[in-house]
Amino acid sequence: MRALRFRCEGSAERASCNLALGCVLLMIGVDLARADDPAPAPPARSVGQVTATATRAERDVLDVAGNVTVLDRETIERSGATTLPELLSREPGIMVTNTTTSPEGYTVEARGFDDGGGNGSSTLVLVDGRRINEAESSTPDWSWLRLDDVERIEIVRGPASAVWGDNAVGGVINIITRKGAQGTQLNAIGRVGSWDTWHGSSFVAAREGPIEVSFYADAGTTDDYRHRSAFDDHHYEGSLRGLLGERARVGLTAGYASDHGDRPGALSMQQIDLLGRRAAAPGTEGDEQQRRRWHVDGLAEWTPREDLHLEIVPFIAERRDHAVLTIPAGDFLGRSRSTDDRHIRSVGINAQARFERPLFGLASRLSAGSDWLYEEISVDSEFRDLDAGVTLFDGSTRSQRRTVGGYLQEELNLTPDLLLTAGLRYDDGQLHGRDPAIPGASFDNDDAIWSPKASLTYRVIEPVAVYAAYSHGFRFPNIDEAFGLFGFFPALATETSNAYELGAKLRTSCASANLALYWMDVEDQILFDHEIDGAFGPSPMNVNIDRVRHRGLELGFQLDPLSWLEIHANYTLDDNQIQHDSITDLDGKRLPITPLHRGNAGVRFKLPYRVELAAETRVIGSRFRANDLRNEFEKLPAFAVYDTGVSWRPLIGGRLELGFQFWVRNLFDRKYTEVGGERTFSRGEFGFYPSPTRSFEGSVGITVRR
Amino acid sequence: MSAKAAFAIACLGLAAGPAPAQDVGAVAEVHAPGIDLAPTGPSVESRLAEIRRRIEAALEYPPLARWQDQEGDALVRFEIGADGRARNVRISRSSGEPLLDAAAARAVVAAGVLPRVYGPLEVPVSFELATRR
Repeated sequence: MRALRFRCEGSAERASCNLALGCVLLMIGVDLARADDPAPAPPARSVGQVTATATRAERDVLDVAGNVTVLDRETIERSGATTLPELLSREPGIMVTNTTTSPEGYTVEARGFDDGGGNGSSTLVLVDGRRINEAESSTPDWSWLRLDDVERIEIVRGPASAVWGDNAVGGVINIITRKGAQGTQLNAIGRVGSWDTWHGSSFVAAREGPIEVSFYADAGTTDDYRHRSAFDDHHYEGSLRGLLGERARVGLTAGYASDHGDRPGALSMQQIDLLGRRAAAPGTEGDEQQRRRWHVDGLAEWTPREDLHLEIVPFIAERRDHAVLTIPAGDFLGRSRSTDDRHIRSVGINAQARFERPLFGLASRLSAGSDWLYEEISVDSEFRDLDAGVTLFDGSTRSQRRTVGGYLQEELNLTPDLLLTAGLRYDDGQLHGRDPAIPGASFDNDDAIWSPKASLTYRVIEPVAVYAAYSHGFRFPNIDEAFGLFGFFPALATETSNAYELGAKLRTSCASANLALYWMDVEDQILFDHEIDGAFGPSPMNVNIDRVRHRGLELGFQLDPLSWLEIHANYTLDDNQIQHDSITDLDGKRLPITPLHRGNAGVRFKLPYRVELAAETRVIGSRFRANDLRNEFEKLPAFAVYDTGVSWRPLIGGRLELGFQFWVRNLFDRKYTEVGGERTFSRGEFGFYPSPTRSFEGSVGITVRR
Repeated sequence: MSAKAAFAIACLGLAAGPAPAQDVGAVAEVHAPGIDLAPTGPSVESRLAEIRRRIEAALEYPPLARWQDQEGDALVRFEIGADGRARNVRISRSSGEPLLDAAAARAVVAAGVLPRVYGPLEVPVSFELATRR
């Protein structure tokens, strides 16, 4: 039995607990000070309303040429979701899978890139402007991102490398964390759920005059659905921001997180029948991952002129991992175990300038930006055949990755209703790695990429817009692909995409809808092919596929036909097919894991006394198994999962809000598998990651505002 | 001389122009702050409207607030001093954004010499962002 503990054993935890306590005391102190209000001021005579108006700096979603969604804090709180991937899985165009059932195993990809191979590396994820795709794998660590600490999520589907550079092939997910609000605010949430799941978070923020501070802390533990899949984590984040006069603002954010998760491994069908769905794979005792990370981000904003805004975000981050993974006996290998210790340090700076001025008498905005990122990656790994008792590989790689890029983007209103956007970005990426113990084991991969974009958006009538867009995306090969467990592939080329998109949007107070049709040709798509024959048998390799076509349709709507009723649904068609490859025999084959059809639907009843009843469903169509690039095997079956929940959020006195939620996940106890595939070293043998059956979760929250 | 009359005369001493005695007596009976004792010239309403116009002319949307998408309503309380300029300017209800509060207070100060109106005054200031097109 595990219980929730706000642990204070370690010095870092103890310091954080003290800081949280200090923030609470500060809040109480501020409140007490305010209790000494002077006598009421005499009534004053009003001179009448005065209004200042200006043009919003941010564009309306209707004017953005692309399928873009913005989820605000209110939407997040009402959703009942507890993790970011869970929330994102309800969005069209976004595919979410999980191989561990714990937060550590999530993969999130847009527009058909979740193929069971280089998962997660084709969607760029930003937190407060800082890219968080990991240095060596290009994948984000979703267990580190806490939904309770998120203020807003912006989802951009489709390539966006013309602004954001590397990894923005399938889309961009931009996460903005919570910061201080006027006065003081305390928000605490406690959750308890099936499989001994406990989680608590607290957010404290205060703003007095030009200074705002906020602090977020959480801790959680779960035994999770599978045996030996326990996951424990805690996370602390503090932020201090201040105005320098009325034209500049500076800020500093620092965070620390650590987690530990056991890895239950994949089960064969025979093992599922014999041992049950929840069993850990035999022989995987000791499979685990430990991770610790910290980061410090700076912020400086300056508006030297009314029409010019400058922003600089410098950051530094460090991460240490220890991971153990057991691989079942294969065709030419005994049961083997990989032990991996990683140390990653990153430092970078993002800068952006936005300048608004008329061009040829037309409203216009010019944006220019540049970013620089330097990462050092140390990997010490051992690959050992447990049956033979021999070490097959014992090495250390030391790598450096440096990317530098700059872009220009012009937004020009040809008419008040017609917006032309054009942009161009240049990126230079250098990846150097070597294994000091192995002579000649080194690689240097330098590449330079130009990424253009162009789009037209037209407001047909006030709440309706249509758009046409061309965009380019790319991602550099990462260290794991070029110099990882499965070999040494220095010749891997940069993956690039050219996408064409048509879309329409509707936004009114009671209805919103999106339709997007896209066609994307991906050149040199990086895939993991485990069936390439080598001298000693199958040789798993990361390969570039010459041309893969991603095309699809995304349709979504939300209706509030009555004050007490809300309905939403979406449908995604992802048609991903390998068009041509000069080396492999994969022409005409479809990519695994992402289905051709999938969708979501939900209904929400808003009852009196701020009570809401909600039901959500997620439908995933049949799809080829992971590693089945040749489309030889039976598909993973389609499934539909239904969740339902009730929430009550009473307001007490205008300053106190309570929140009670109870959710049943997988209401009908559906037994399904999100991910399964052919084993890497064993042809014709399959492993599956059984997904959770019915589970329950309750939460209590309190929010106090002063 | 009664205390009420002395108070009324003291107030008159701050007034811009001479006032007929009958007006003094009538106003002196009111007691409440915020009374206006300048009986000649434009009406109180027209002076208040002029104050509003001058504040609005001095009001600017803070550039950084606009770039940060900040909107809100502030309430500024002030008085008009002997020199005709705003004094005791303070935010009686914050917009929630320091930049907007500062801009609202600054507009009142920057409005310059204002028509004389006695007693505390309030001006509600709205900062609104129009959707970019």
